[in-house]
Amino acid sequence: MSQEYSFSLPYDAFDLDLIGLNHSDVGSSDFIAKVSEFFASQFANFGGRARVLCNDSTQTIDVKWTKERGFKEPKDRAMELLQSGKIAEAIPLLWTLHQERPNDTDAIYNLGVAYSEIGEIPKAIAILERLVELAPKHVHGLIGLGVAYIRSQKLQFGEEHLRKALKLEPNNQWALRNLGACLLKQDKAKDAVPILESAIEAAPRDLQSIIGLGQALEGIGRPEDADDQYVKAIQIGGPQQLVDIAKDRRTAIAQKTMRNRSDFRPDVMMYITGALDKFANLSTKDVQAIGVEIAILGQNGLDINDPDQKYTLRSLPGKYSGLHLCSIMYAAFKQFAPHEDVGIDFSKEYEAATELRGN
Amino acid sequence: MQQDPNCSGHASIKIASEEDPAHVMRFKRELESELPYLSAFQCGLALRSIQAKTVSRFDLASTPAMGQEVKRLIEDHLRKTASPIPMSMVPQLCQQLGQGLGLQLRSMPIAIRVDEWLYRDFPALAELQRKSIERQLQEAMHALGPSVRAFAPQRIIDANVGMSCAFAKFWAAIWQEPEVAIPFTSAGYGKIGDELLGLVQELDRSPDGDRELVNQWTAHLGLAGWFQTIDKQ
Repeated sequence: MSQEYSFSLPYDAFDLDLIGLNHSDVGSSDFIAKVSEFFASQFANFGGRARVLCNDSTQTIDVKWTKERGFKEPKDRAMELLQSGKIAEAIPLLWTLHQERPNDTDAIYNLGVAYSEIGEIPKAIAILERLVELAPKHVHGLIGLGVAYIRSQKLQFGEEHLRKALKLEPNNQWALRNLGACLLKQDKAKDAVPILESAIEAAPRDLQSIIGLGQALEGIGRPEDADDQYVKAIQIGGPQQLVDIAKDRRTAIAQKTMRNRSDFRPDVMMYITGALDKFANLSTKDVQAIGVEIAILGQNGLDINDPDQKYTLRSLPGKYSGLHLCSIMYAAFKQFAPHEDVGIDFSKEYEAATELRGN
Repeated sequence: MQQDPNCSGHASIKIASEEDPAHVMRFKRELESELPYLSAFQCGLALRSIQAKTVSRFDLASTPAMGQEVKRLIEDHLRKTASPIPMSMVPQLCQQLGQGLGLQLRSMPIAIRVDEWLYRDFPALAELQRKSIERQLQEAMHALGPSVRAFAPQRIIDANVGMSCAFAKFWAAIWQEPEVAIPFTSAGYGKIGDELLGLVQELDRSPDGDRELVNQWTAHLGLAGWFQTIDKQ
């Protein structure tokens, strides 16, 4: 045989006499295990390599086989699918592997984590519980189970399994990171700080741990230290979603810090007054361009606490501090999109500025 | 020799007659690389037909009952399975499935004899033969799957896959690779496959025996009410 063959067989078309089962067994775990074993052993007996996939959703048995070298074994093919993010596609293969080898801890682990990743949490928990029952010291299994419990909002169970994993492997970055997140979700920021610090020690460029530590530090009233973590996260870069969280947290901290210093900022009022004077001679389109340019610049973070840090704009000549730019932006948006939330509240200063200008 | 994208199967041959002075072989363009084997195979079929005594020459005709029963079976099947296939497609399916089954019945038992002859006497064609047979086997395996079951009634599938199983078992024995028959035997067609292949091997192997072979396959598959051999016109 030189080529790769494939065929599909509905569950109910398989000849049950070959595996000694009845019609009532079709689709059961026993059925899957015996069908998989049947095909695998049949082809192996003839020197072939077969991948058997029992797809529960379509109720079909998919078989591929060949004698060619380079044909991927089921386990390798499943890993390939997982690594390329095709998790839903990998699940039937992993499930079949699990049925074939119910005590293979790698197969159980991969299946459990795959279920967890696609949000099939009850299935993930059942499979991973089975894993830690079989192999109580399976660190990745304990972490996977902990994460699955966190995803199902059973935070104490999650914490328990992650702590078990850390007892076995104290510097495991995944266990540390997830335990930190779990503690944060339980409002245990104080406990989360040392855990997340250890996570960063284990993996210094892990964005989730860095941002998590920032959040924990905010939670215990250390916003400046938290801001340092967010700056670090932005500098390291990575998935946009995470970087955006860091940026949003920075903006929130800056806003809160400023508000804490004073309820009313005369400097902001003056900046807004100046901006409104300038806008009086500009078209709405020009004002809009200024507002949008500052908003875009703000995406990368504007330091509104450092008056010495200066920025320039293409749409407006001069050099401006971060606070000055935010004031201009606030005033600009009030002209063309008054109800837009620009992420900073200068309403009191804006009101005072308009009164001052007699508008 | 003519390229014809619509020819039935991979290739076909029409034997010369008073109206048509030449034998005409049609083949699918994409299979041109296998042409030496396909030509030899079609010539083998033609030779057997020509070498048979006049009384043994035959065509396979469908009975009026075949059209009616296939139509009823398809309609019942589509209703029973709540198939998304519209009833308006039933006439097309009838023709496709009924005609396809007849073609398979007319050609497959004799094809096994022709292929055996080519394999034995023309080893230079073995590589192309294998390539072509592997493709045919893979195509035959599709009939096992859910996509075909969505529109084809069980009786038609049983006849089709039973014949394919005999074909696969024949090659499994020739190549000494039993695994090529596993897809069909695992679906429960092993027994009918053995019986049909037994007929190929036991009945008169000369071209004069081909008609009886087709008759026997027809009876064994329970298709005697649908198809019958008739004297060649």
